[in-house]
Amino acid sequence: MSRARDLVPQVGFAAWETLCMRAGFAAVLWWEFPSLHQLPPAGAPLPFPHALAQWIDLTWALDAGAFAALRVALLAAAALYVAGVALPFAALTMLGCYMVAGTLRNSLGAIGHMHQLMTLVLLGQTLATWSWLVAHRSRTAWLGRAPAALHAHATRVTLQIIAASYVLSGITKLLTTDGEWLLQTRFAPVQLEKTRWQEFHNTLVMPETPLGDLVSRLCLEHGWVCVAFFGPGLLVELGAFAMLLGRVPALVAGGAIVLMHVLIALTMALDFLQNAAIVFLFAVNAPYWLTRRHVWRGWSAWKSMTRPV
Amino acid sequence: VNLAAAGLRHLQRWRWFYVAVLAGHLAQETFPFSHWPMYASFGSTTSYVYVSDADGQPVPHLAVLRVGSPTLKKRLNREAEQARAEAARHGQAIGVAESLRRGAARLLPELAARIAPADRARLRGLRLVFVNVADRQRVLVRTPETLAELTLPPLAAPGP
Repeated sequence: MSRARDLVPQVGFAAWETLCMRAGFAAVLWWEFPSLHQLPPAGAPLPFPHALAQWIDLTWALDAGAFAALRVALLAAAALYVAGVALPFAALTMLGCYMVAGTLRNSLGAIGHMHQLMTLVLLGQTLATWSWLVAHRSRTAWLGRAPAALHAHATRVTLQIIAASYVLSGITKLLTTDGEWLLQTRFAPVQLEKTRWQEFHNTLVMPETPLGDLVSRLCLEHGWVCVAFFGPGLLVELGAFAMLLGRVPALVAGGAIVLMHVLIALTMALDFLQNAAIVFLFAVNAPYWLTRRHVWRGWSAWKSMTRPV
Repeated sequence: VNLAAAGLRHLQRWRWFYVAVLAGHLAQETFPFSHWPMYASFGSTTSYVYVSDADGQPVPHLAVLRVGSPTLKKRLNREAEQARAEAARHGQAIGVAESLRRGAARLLPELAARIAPADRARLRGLRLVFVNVADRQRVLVRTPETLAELTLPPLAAPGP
């Protein structure tokens, strides 16, 4: 059985680590919550009711007062979430706020992908918290402080949700193109041109994307450059499950995903800052690595080696 | 036996991962689930749309229309779908180009309604322009086409 356990290591996150993650995630949730002007206008039926809005009337939230109350509820729940108090209700409240706002935002007739990952993480954390408390028959943790073991469990579930999203993104690419996604990347300059002009029409300022311009030019001159530049992105997505294999694989897989997002932002002027931030918080887990003595010893050794004599 | 035990433990510990992959794949685009179709395929042509004033000068989407360019294109596609469905209900079969034109004509009044009075006062009309971007033997070519125009009546002068 020990070999079986080694195949699927269960990382035990310390309480202070999960506290850092919760604080960072709460900040992302607060920062990225949509504004009222990004939602359909109040007082009219939704133009294209999406998902939950097809069955439940959510237009009450479009009233300025109701939307302000939603923001207050998110803030209060985020404070409890960071403190680790009444975790099941805090997570459920934040999930509710994001479900309402995200569903309304996607009911404008265009599906955006700004809030899916963060809402899926909230859904995972809510289900993980509720199921853990029921399974452990904990009576005190429902409203009191959650134990460190629950935070660690919620973090492991969060990593699985994040990994699943990126792996599915890679699978969708392969399914949509019958496995020919890499070959199709030779047409990526067409998309780069489109996103550049779309960004221009947003503000009437042409975005500065020197890397994108260089990649586009090289791709048009040499088709293989497209495969070499975009191919690793597919591998990074399909390999995202590695973040479930332990701390070092999570650092490597998470770092690769963050780098991929940075390169997408630099080449296509498309930023998914919130997704990169979530991966950075939960998978890269910088506070853990910054507190490892051997990391600092390695850094000192490298500095002494590179110091001019 | 060890392999079976490893497999079972793997499934048990990674169950959230497998459920999330399956749920996203089955639910596709049903918030909060997604199968993440962005840039899932590349073709030799693509398109984007923009809004200009009556003289053909582009209008900044975010500041004036309070909508981003990608959303604008998705909105046009949804309106075109509805126009096609509406035509089908009346026994008409319309092509992609015609459905885009009808979709644009449906979308422009809604966009005009989003414009703040200060910006609205400066505009005499709006045009929705469709731009085709194509890879023609490794040279990128953009071809614009106006899909619909909307004349905006002058705003009433403020009362005494």
